[in-house]
Parts: sequence; C-alpha cells; structure tokens
Amino acid sequence: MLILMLCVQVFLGFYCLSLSLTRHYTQVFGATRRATPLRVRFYRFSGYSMLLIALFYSVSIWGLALGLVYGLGTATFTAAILALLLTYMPRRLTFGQHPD
Amino acid sequence: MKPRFRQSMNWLHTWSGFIFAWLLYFIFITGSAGYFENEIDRWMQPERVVVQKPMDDADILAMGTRQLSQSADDASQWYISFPSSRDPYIGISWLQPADASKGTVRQWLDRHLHPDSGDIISARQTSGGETLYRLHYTLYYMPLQLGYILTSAAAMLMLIALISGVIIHKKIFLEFFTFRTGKGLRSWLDIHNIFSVLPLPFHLMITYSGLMLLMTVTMATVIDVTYGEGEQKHRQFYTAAQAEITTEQVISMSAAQLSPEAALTDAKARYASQPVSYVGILARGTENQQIEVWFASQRSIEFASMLSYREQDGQVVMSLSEGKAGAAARVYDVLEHLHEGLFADIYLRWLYFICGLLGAGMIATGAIMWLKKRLAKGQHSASCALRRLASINAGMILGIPVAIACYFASNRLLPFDMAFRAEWELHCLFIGLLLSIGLAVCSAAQSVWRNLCWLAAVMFGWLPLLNALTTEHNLLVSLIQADWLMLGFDLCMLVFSAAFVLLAIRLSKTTAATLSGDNVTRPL
Repeated sequence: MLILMLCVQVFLGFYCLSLSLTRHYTQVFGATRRATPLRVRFYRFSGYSMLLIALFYSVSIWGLALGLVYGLGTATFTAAILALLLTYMPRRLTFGQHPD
Repeated sequence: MKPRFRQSMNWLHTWSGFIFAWLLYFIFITGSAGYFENEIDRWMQPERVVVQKPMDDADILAMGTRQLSQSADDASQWYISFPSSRDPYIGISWLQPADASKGTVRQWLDRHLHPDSGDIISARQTSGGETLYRLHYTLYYMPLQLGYILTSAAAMLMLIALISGVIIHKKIFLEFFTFRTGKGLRSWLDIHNIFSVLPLPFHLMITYSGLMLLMTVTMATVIDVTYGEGEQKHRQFYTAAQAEITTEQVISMSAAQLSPEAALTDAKARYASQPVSYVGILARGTENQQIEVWFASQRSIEFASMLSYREQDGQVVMSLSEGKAGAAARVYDVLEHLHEGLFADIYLRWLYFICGLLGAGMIATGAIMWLKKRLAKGQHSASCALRRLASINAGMILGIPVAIACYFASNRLLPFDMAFRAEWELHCLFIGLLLSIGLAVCSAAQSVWRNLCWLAAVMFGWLPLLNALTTEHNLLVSLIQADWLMLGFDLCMLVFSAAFVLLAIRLSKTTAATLSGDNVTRPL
C-alpha cells in the first residue's frame, strides 16, 4: 500500500511534467491544442512539487538510504510506464480534463 | 568550442559503448538474473523441501547440530541456516578438512535437511543461481583474474559511455518521455534514450559500484606500493581496511553453560523482533571455540547483524559487530550493498531486475544503431563482413536469453548423478549461445530476429512443461502446496516466453510491411 501510494505520487509528478512539454500536451489533448504559458508554468510547478513530495514521503517512511532507493527505483519504473502510455494510448491520459 | 566538444564526445560514446557491447550485454543479463539467485536455486534443486509450518528455532538448531555431528564431526566450522521467506529450508554447511587418506579436499559443503525427519536430502548437483550470477564477473572459461580485469575494463568503458552519453544528449529533459514509433533510426535513438535516461541512477550506481567491487584486482599495484607485494602483505591491507568496530561485554552466563543452544536463546532475547538467519560454530573443539548468531536485520540497506559468543578466562564474552571502522570501508559497504541489493524486498528486487534489463536493452539498442548506421551508409556496398556482424549481433542479443533457458533446461535433462553435472550445465549455457549465433548466421537477414525470437519463446515456454514432466512439481502442485518460489519461477518463464512470442509476431508484421511497402531488393 505504501509502495502504491509512492507510485501514484511519482506518476502524477511525471504526468504533470510531461504535460508541460508541448509535444506531450498535443499528444494527449490533440494536435491543435497548445497550452497557455500560464498552464505550462502550472504543470511544471505542480510536477516538480509532486516529485519533491514523493521524495519526502519515501524518505520519511523508509529512511534516507532505503527511501532514496525506493524513490529512484519507482521513478524509473513509473516514467517508463508513462512513456509507453504517451506513445501507445495518449488519449487515455486526459483523465476527464478539459483543456482550455 | 562547445559544439566541437560535443562532437568529440559523440565519437567517444560510440566507440566506448561498442567495443565491449556484447560483453556488457552478457554482464547485464546474467547480473540481473543474479537478483533472483535464491529463487533460481530453488528451481534448480527441486528436491529441497520447503518448511511449511513454523518451527521452533531451538528445534532447528538441534536438528542441524545432530546431523552435523554425524556427517561432519571432523570439520572445524559449522553453519546452520534457518528458513526465511526467500530460503524456506533448513540448511547445514561445513568446512571439510583436507584428508589424503579419504581423498577429500578442503572445501565448503552444504546440504539441506528434511524438516520432518532431519535427514540430509539427496539433491541433484547443480551450478544454481550462484554460478549464473558469478558469470557476470568471472566470465567462465578463463582464469579468474582475467575475468575480473575484462569485466572491470568493460565497466570502465561503460562509465565513460554513460557520462559522454549524458553530454551528447541535447534534450535530456525535453525528450524525457519521448518515444516516436515507426521512424527508423530516430525511433531506435528514442528507445535507446529511454533505456538509458530513465534508469540512469541505477546505471551510474551499478557501473561505478561494480568498478569499485573489483578495485583490489584492478588497483592491486596501489596495495603493492603501500603495503608491499605478496599475499601476506596484502592481508595486512585487508585487515586494516576492513577493520570493524566491535563492542564486547561479559554476560551473565557461566562458561560451562555456553553452548549453541544457550547462545541462541541469549541472542534471541536481545533481538526479539528479528528472525535468526544463521548459527555458526567456529574453531570447533579448540579453546577458542566461538558461536555466531546472525540475524536478518531490516536496518536500512544493511543486510545482517551478528552476535558472537566465546569463552575467556572462565567467563562468556559477547561481541557485537557495529559496522566498519574506516570511513572508506563504510562507503565501500554502502555501494556494495546497493550493488548486490540483498536488502531488497520483493518490490525493490523486481525494480532492480527491470532496471538491469533496461540496461541490457540500452546496450542492445546501442549496438543495433551502430550497425544500422553503417549498413545504411552503403546500401549496396555494405560489406559482407558488416552484414555478418549484424547477424552475429542478433545472435548475441537474443542468444544470451536462449542460453540461459538452455542452462535451466539442462538442469532437468542431464542424468541425475552424472559426473561434473554442475559444470555441464554451464557448458550447455555456452553451447546454447553458440548454436543461437550459428542459427543467426545461417538465417536470412530479414528473418534472423524473428527466428531467434521464436527460438527463445520455445526455449522459455517449455521449461514449466519440462519441470512438470521430470519432477513432481508443476504449476498446480506448486499452487496447492503454496510453493511460491517454484510457482513464481514457472510463471515467469511463461511470461518471458509470451513476451518473445509477441515480439516475434510483431517482427513478422513489420518485415511483411517493409517488404511490400518499398521496393528495396535485398539478397535473400
């Protein structure tokens, strides 16, 4: 359960970061869409903060050494999954969001 | 200045990666398999009996010492291992002394006990998971030192390739998640980047710590210069470098009472929450006899903690090891633990394994790109040697998984009490690799990958079947007996097989598409 929580946090972090990049934003929301600069900044900020929260979370649970191992390992794993999702089923990643 | 620097790094990256690509690929695959060493051991010795119901530690100790005093009374060191989740068996091991009259040599022997009767289980000889993972630095068929040096050289070049790779990768953040399919070389580069950038922390850690683990071999001259040459002088270095902080205390137990049972009871009282992993009796029968109790500690990435009991001036002295004394040795320990991942639970273990496979994928895609670029340059004039190299490359990349499957299959197929059985399992591994390369060289250029994928799919797919036919373990029995290690192994083999089937189907589709899509005439 703790691990699943970590996975979700890291995934959300990377998800927001990927949306802050034009390429992935258009992959998810359609070719004509462009994120407004404000939105890009919002995605970037929330992405990095989510990753930071995930890092604090794992260090607080497993201690510094083991927490870093969990954090980095999970990051590799979830980022790989996200990369696959972005390539093969990007439309699934809208999660009911309505782009501006 | 900047662009030229980057270009020069490009060259460095290409060649440092390519020179030892096949060796590194082999190292990554066998090393990754090593994370499941115990699980592989279980599959390769199906005779072992899993301890199903909880047993009292004292009973296990009594069972172990009884069997050891029957079969290894002349040994100076005994160890009894207790069941754990990864090793759910009772094991004994002892240091057999060299005895010319009996024709025995000094070596460690280990056996497993039947949890009900306490008898030694007669199990097949096998190289097991341990030798498989040792392949990633001994490389077999060559002197140990040469294996170490080759591995270190490969790791050094890998480290160079990693760092230069980070420098030449212009858009590391912009293309963090990017994988564009169906764009030829661009797609290969994308997947190469994904395989390298996402697990970069793992790659850097594993390469650097790998280099460091072999430092006493590669940097032996440093020890020579500081401590002098020869084994004796080198031992001085090891004693100094690996010195441990130990705290000693006299405990309230009379020397006459000191026995393995008493030591175990005392140690368990001190570490009530932690499971015992080993009890060792060292320097048996001398006045320095010493009893060690090891715990599987869950303290961060440290793997074990140990209490040791001995007699001194009529009193019992207990010493507790508290880690290495020197700062350098502590750094070494941290990196060693990170590399070996012994602390990892099942989730982290799989992450380690996946990261290892991603690393193997990184090397494989790198090698494929190297060849594709050169083959594309001279569409018509591509030399015969280059084509041959491309086939051998395919044979290597898919041949190593096939070889490992051969290794597992040979464990079931070789006669039970064949001489040098364990060695022949390894021979089978390398024969499997050679045959795959042979198949690759004989296949037509556009079907080579597909053929090898089918071969790998078959080789992995029939392992559970083979297991069911030659032993009394099959998927259903393992499920009913809650023999998770056996079940997990068989299921993993089926998953690998399925992955290769999917890959093969995908490859036949794309080859069909390229063949009908454009009129490139290729020699068949």
